[in-house]
Amino acid sequence: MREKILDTNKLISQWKRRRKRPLGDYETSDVEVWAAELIELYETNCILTPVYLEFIGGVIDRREMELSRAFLGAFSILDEGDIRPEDWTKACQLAERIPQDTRPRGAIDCLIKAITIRLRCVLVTDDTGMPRHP
Amino acid sequence: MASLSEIIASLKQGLSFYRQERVDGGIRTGITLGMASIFERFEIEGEEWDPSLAWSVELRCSGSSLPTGTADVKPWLLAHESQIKDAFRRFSEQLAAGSDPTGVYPLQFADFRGLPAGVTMKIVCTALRRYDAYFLAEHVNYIREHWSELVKNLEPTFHKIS
Repeated sequence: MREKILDTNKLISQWKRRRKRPLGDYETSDVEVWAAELIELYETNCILTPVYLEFIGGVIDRREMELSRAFLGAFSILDEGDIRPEDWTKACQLAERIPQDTRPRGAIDCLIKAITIRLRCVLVTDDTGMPRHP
Repeated sequence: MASLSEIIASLKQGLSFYRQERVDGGIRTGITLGMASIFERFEIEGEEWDPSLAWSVELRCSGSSLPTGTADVKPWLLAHESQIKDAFRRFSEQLAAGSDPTGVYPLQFADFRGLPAGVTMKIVCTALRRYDAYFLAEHVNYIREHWSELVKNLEPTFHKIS
């Protein structure tokens, strides 16, 4: 379902949940299965460019990079790297929206939400950062 | 566990009805055939400020006897109204009795009765917060009570996401 975009935290939680041993014990085919499970659960294989960047930006060594690329390769980057001026404008508006708890709004989170709005999608996330009732 | 290519292939053949609310209050109801949105209705009051999924209820259909053409989808969903509504009723009772859809994995209900051969269905739901989860049984019930109206009122999806 193209309407649903998986947020970085969904990818990271699946990765952490499935990783039981040192990464050296796993093959790229294993992490592709981890990705497939997530895709099947939420019936979407869509992510965004900032999600890809955020995930890959947390990698700490060459082996993890290799496996992360295989894992991320299972997903489709819906924006195809086409981040537009209007996305930055909307992201800025979202960052300027101060929630009641005054929690900082992450730049990447705001950009992900801005692109999601433009693409007329929903973001599947565990992030409860923005208030339900402003 | 099916392979990635098998899963993608099955997504391309499935039929889903969904109703979901975003954190900013936008409510989208729709139908996807394969991975394409074919019918949709989106309602929101005010500005779009958070597209995060607050809750979602999906009816996922699969099998060899699904309709393949857009024009056949609504009549097919309406023709199986009694089986679908029966499952939604029993699932809402299960939710009301206490289930946690805010967990790691979405909640699933696949106990459909009386479906034709070659068709399987399941209801899949998620909620971001316990606040949203609390009302999930009501959302499931709403879909059951308004099934034919919700399906009939969906509009063809003309936009194409690049």
